[in-house]
Amino acid sequence: MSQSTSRRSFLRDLGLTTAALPFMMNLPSLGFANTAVRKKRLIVMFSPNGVVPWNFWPDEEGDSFTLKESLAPLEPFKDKMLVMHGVCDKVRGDGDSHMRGMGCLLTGIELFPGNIQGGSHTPAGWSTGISLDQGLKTFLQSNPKTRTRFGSLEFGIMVPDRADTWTRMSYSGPNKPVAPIDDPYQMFNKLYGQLKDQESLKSVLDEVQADLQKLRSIVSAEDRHLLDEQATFVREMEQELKSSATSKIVHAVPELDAGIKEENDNIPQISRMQIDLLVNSLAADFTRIATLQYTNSVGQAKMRWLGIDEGHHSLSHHDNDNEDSQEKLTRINKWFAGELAYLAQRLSDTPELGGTGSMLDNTAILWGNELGQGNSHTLDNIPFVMLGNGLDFNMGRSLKFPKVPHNRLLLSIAHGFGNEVDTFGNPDFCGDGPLTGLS
Amino acid sequence: MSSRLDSSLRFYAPLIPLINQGWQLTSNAKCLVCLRVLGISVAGVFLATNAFADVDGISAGQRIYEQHCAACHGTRGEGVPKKQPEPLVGDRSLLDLTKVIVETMPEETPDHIVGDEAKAAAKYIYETFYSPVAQARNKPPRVELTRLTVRQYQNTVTDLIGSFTGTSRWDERRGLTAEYFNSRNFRGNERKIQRVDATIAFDFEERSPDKDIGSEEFSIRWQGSVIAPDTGEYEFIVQTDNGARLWVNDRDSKLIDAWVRSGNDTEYRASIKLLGGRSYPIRLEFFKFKEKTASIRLLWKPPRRQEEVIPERHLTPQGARQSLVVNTAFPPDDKSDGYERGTTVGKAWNDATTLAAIEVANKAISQLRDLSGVKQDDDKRDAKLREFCGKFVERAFRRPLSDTERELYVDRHFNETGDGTIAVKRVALLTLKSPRFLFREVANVNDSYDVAARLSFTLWDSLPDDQLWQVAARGELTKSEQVERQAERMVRDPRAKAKLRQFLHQWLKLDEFEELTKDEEQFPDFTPELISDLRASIDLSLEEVIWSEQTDFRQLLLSDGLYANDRIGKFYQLEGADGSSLKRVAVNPVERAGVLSHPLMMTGFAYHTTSSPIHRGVFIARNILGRTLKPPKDAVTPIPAESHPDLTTRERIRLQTEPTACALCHEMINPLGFSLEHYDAVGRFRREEKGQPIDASGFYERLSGEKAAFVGVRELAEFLADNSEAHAAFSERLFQYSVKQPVQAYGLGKRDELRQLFVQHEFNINKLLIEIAKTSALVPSKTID
Repeated sequence: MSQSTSRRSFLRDLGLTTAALPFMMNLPSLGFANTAVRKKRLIVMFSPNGVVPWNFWPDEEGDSFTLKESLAPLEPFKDKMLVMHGVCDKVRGDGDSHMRGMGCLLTGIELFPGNIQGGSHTPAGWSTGISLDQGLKTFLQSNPKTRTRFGSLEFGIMVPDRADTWTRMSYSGPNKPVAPIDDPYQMFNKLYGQLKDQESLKSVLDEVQADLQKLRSIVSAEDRHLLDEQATFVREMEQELKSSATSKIVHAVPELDAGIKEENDNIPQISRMQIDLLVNSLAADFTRIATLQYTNSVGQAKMRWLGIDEGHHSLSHHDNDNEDSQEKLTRINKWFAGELAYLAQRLSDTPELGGTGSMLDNTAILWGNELGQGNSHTLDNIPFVMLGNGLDFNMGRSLKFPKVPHNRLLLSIAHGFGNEVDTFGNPDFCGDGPLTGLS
Repeated sequence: MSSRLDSSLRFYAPLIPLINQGWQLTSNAKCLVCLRVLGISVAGVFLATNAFADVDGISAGQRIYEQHCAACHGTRGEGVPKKQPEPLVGDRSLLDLTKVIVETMPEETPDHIVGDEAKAAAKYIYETFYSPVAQARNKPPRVELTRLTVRQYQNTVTDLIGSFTGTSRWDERRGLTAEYFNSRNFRGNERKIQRVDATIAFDFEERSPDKDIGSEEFSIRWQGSVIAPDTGEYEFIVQTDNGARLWVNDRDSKLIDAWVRSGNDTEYRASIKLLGGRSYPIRLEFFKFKEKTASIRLLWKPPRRQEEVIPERHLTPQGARQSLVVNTAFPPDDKSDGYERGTTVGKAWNDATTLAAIEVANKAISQLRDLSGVKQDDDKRDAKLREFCGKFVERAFRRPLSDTERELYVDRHFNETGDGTIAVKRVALLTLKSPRFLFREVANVNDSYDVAARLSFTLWDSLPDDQLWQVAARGELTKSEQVERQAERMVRDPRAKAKLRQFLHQWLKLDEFEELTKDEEQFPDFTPELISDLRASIDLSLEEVIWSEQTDFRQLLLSDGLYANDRIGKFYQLEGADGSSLKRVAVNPVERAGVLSHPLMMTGFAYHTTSSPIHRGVFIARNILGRTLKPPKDAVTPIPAESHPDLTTRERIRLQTEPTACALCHEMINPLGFSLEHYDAVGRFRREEKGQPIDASGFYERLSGEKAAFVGVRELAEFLADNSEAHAAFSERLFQYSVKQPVQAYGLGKRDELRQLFVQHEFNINKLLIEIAKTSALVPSKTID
């Protein structure tokens, strides 16, 4: 079996997208493929190390419920959210809980045996199946009416620079992990690099032309034709650039703060930069599928901006009766909820171009985690929260499921996009079909 | 039939009906075919007078020509549309030309111009416009303005960026440094072995690499650089039961990341573009942890080659700098003069230069700190970046900037954008799109900087290096000795070696051997792997000369060594060839001589099942002896071997080319090719064909009219190595390939002058290159009107 590296091709995409295209001029036409059909979008947000259950899950079931401390920042979106208790990652096999929790979260299927040793259990490799986001990307890209420039975008925030089972949740197929881009400047280049290249190019072509004119008088009469021909081609290029005016890009190109280094203490800034880029790329219809991955499974962010000096994963191992730690973990998850709220707010503030309502009304955000709770490493009760009306589910409820496999949730989302597959991931967990009672 | 031969022979197709008629050609048909060969055709009016005296200062020859030839050939041999459009030019001797007129002209009544009339007409034609000397006099070749060729562009960009990071050299050491650790994560205090490994192909099975290393977990790191022989896409392949990661020409991002072993994946591939004749940093890391077995292999698939474990000769423990290699694809250069020239521009080329400028500008920005040495938070960042940009523009333009130019190309962008990074990007784009970068010596100053650039492009296809720049800055490139001193230094640089290798590839047409597959039933063991080995084998023969002190042209033709491994040895029955790596073995000097009878050459110049004396003869006539052979106007299909099962190849070719029409050229081509009849379609030596002993006798009629006879490859090679036409042809080809201008543009006598120098220097190619560099670097200024 053979596997091509994805890290490399990703870097190549960044630097060389221009070379892959016939020319740089067709950027605008790649956005807004069409506006006739309602756009549906999915964003999967990931945060690690489980939650503090008693500060996370609402006590009530149904449309009347109170948000606990961890979810408090989502109060403004309460009527657009589903809190889904009782959804469990039942996939077993090789790898420890952190590995399976990450590698199976969106794939719903076992990991390959491999050489990566976790804290316990057997060593494992990559997932044996495609992830939901990538499956939906394939589904949307196969239809000209839903095809977009990128198909999917994978955003990260401080993901360690190593490819392993703990750092990857997206898979384009068995053994094909997809690397998130956690540098906002790299992501900006991927999204707008060609546009910026055009602008830079436009700014110098006049001078190139002037230089050609100057030199034509210096070279011999017999050689002049060569420079004259070149001048014609440069002129044609200038005209092409002018006619592909950037005005066709309806939304503004975001301005990023310069020089934000990729380091722990900048996580809050990087998070907002990435969310802004994400919202922009959805608004431009560059993609309808996105992932937003905070650190990694077993992530060790030190949230000093919350007054917490310990690493997130280390804290998550502390006992239930360690009140200080549980309070800190609650605060950490509340911070993630706050970022989710910011994302939802940005979408809610952006009108749906060519459609009705806001972008949030046409987007489903799924927030998940590799564990239910950090200190027990349980894969039961994965803290799944859904936000936004993109899939026309009946929102504004706290749901309690009887320990259902999370494959059924993945199936529900696929069906929400009209991708009515019978199974997703391991078929053994799909027997009962999509979750009932969502719509 | 191989596709290459197939296409070149399509010219002959219209003759098929004639062949089927059993060669009962009318004299008309003969003429139609042959005349094209010479560019001579029928005149409508017949000869009426026999006067030979000059009349009114007009020679008899001119009178005969104007009366009988000009109607079809034009008054000055320029050709006449719809009659004989091709100009009447060539390189036949006067004697030969006379013979052609006697035998074939005028087309419909070839008997009408014979004897003294033919002589007079031939003399007039020859002296007035036909001969190479007359051609040069009538249309003096000039040094044309050219743009960078694709090869020059690629090298120039790599060396421009490299001038800020340093370049890489390598010595004779080969293999990669290896460190073996008794831990899975390269812990320094667990390093048990440090050594050089020749190749990376280890199967440890269930064992450990060493007694001091446990078998449950260990790790190994290999480092050094990889030397790329040719320019193109290289696919690297890592095969392992365990975890591994590979970096090639990029310290920051892995080409292959297989650290996670997962499921049944044991092979990982990724491609990267590399320029030939340069070394690139490479690092491979490997670890085993708890898996039952351990194995690791590092392979590659270079351009035009088969997959193989990277041979020791392409690895060196010496480190190398990272190089910027342009990935943007360029349209191929115009090669109609027999060598790439940058004498045309076009939309595709302009687009490619734009995309490449963007690619390079973006890559430069991403490495800006390494290139400029300026930190993001440096107080004097703006000033330092301006200085960096100034150097970048100067090096790219191959000359210093005036104050006005500095303002235009550098300062203006910093002032306008107010952002150092954006300014650098604009400067880079403007520079790389500027005619001063893209065209050669376009500012037409003709000072030492222009001389420096001519030298570096001639010898390296690239920019002047620091040393050359400094000499130019002191104005010390105005005298022949000064230029010579630099050229002597420069021919030893790996870039000069790479360029020479590329030249030899073109000279031997190795670039054109694409698909070399042969009849599988007849040659079942002639596999793609064997072909790949043969390519490497001939390259090693070339490299042996290229890197030698004497760089002796004659050795290319006369060598009695052949590089072979067990596969080549077995197929060609060579003694002493064993093992998988190629080494030089001595061959029977009667059976093989230099590159001429190298199996790859003989395979390339052959059909699917049989040899092709015509292709071999044309190659020798054109490429080695430098003769002009126009392609036949009417296409001919070769007689299939099956239609004459009793004839040897030699007999069949003779039958096919018997008609006068063909014979005019084939008289020269066939005997050259016949001398290589000892080699079958896959280049094996044979003593007989179809039960008859091989007749490898051949001959060549020199331009002087003198005939030389030879039998077999050794005599042929000795004749060629000692032949002044071959010396002149080689010098001229090397000049044109190096300089990208016709040699006559530097003086009508230059071709012969170079030949004489080549002889004086005892056929030392490096010394010839130095002469070429001197000739082309110091030239008078062009006049401008």
